[in-house]
Amino acid sequence: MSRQVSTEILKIRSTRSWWGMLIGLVVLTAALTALGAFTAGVSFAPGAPPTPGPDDPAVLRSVYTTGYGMATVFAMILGVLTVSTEYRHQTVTPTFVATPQRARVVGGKLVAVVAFSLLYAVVALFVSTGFGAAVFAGRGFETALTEHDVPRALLLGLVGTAVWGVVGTGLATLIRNQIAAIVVGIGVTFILEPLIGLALGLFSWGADVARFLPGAASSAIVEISPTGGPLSPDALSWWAALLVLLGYGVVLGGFGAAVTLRRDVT
Amino acid sequence: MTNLVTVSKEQAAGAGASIAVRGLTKRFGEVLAVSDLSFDVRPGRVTGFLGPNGAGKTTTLRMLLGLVEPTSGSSTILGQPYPALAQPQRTVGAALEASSFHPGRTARNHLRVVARTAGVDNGRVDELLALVGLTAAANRRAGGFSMGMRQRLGLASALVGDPQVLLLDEPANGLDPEGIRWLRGFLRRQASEGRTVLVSSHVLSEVQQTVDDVVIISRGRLVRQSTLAELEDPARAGVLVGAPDPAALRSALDGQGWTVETVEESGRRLRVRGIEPARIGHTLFAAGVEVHELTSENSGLEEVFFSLTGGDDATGTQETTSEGAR
Repeated sequence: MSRQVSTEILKIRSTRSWWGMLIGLVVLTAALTALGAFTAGVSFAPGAPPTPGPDDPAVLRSVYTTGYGMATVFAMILGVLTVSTEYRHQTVTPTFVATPQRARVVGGKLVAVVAFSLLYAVVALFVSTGFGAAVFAGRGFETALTEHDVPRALLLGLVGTAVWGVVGTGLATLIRNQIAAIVVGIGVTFILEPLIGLALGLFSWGADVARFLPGAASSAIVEISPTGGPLSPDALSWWAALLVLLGYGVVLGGFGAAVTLRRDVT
Repeated sequence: MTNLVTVSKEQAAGAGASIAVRGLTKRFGEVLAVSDLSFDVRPGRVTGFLGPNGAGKTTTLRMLLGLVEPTSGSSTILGQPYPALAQPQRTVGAALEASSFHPGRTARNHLRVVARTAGVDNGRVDELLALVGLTAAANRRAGGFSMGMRQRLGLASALVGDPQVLLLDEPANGLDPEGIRWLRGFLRRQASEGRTVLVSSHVLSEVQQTVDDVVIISRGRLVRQSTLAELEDPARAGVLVGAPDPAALRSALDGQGWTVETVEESGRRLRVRGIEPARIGHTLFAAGVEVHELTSENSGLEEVFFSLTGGDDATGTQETTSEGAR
């Protein structure tokens, strides 16, 4: 098994996409963190009330976990790529010839993706906390890095990112076209889910459903709203959200594994 | 425990065979790709797995390797079903597609990935790069490789675990004449070292100079398993005869009761079947016919292959060229 994991890690390391995405992740995280940290508590028009400031716990968590939101996207894409490149370039044939016990291949991939997802999350959260705290300090605010459940949010951000890596891996086994899998993964979370959320808002029971959607659960574990604001009262508590998110990972990863184990490779 | 199982299965598979296929059948929906196929492959020989495109060769190889689940039947390699092999890469080397690598990975990194799964150290990678002549291209990305280089890299991947059995699907595809010659020598060497080599091809002439045995399938069924020598049919061997005087040529040959076919409208070239060139030459000399050409076309192999496979594959095999002559 360890041989399988190290093979999958070598597969990721020996192409350029993983560090290309890492660079993109760092740049985007830095930019969005700066935007959030500089615009917090600022009044944009004369006489207008200022936006919630860095003394608001939700704003603090939102800025410090900017890296989490970004890392989930890149972890999911990485998960998709580890599977879809095998089908796209037909390397799945030699992969399964070398390891006819396909469960081992899937297991190795999942562990490798989790490892790289954690790396992404660590780097991105390091950027967003470091950059965010520096900006707040520079503006004369408390950095409050150890208060308002920030440490817990950072820790759960690592777990959440790993789950999104697993979700991407599972998604790619179901949708073997690389672009389609990435578009579906991002599209469902960032475009479809907010629309579904709006539609559900029309019904009295809508909120009970909406809070279980993947994007809502994903942000609830760090106790911010999907758009970065304070957590809505309808949202799941952080531990319930974590369980829901893990559920998505188990279902998609497990379903993907089951499909991969049975399907003929032609 | 596994030893007992191994022995009994091997006996059931036929003594001495390293690959045994028994009643293998695969149905894809309405299409019966492989139908009740049984054959053996022996070690120390190169076996050609032949048939027109779409005959079921690739599906059979994929079933042998556990990639495709057979509808019924079974196959064993060295006495065991492929997925049961403890160290598949050290037992079987397979190259199924000419281009099974990430285009962004270098040749060396590609082989390192394969070596990692096999538990083989990286020293072997450089050995293999040298063996297939890719040392100079080792650090280039495989995406920029020519077809011939891809085939060589695929071959190197198959050899990582120094396997006893080689399964190669159309390895000569896309190779230039020099590459084909290299491949021939390479395969002969592997067999002479006691390995089992199974090479598929849809062109008999491509492997004719390499293989010892043939397994020929058509429409998913076995049509012939024999040695290459047994496949030759002297009665169907053709000899081209050319003469400037068509009438004289025709009358001299007709008197013999031989099978004579017209090659050119003019009648200046005819084909005689099943008669040795020396006899034809002598007959024409005795009849005083001036001869411009006397060419032995082949040993009847192409003809036999065509009649066996129904001849519905036109690519590359229909023309009997001098390459077919031995």
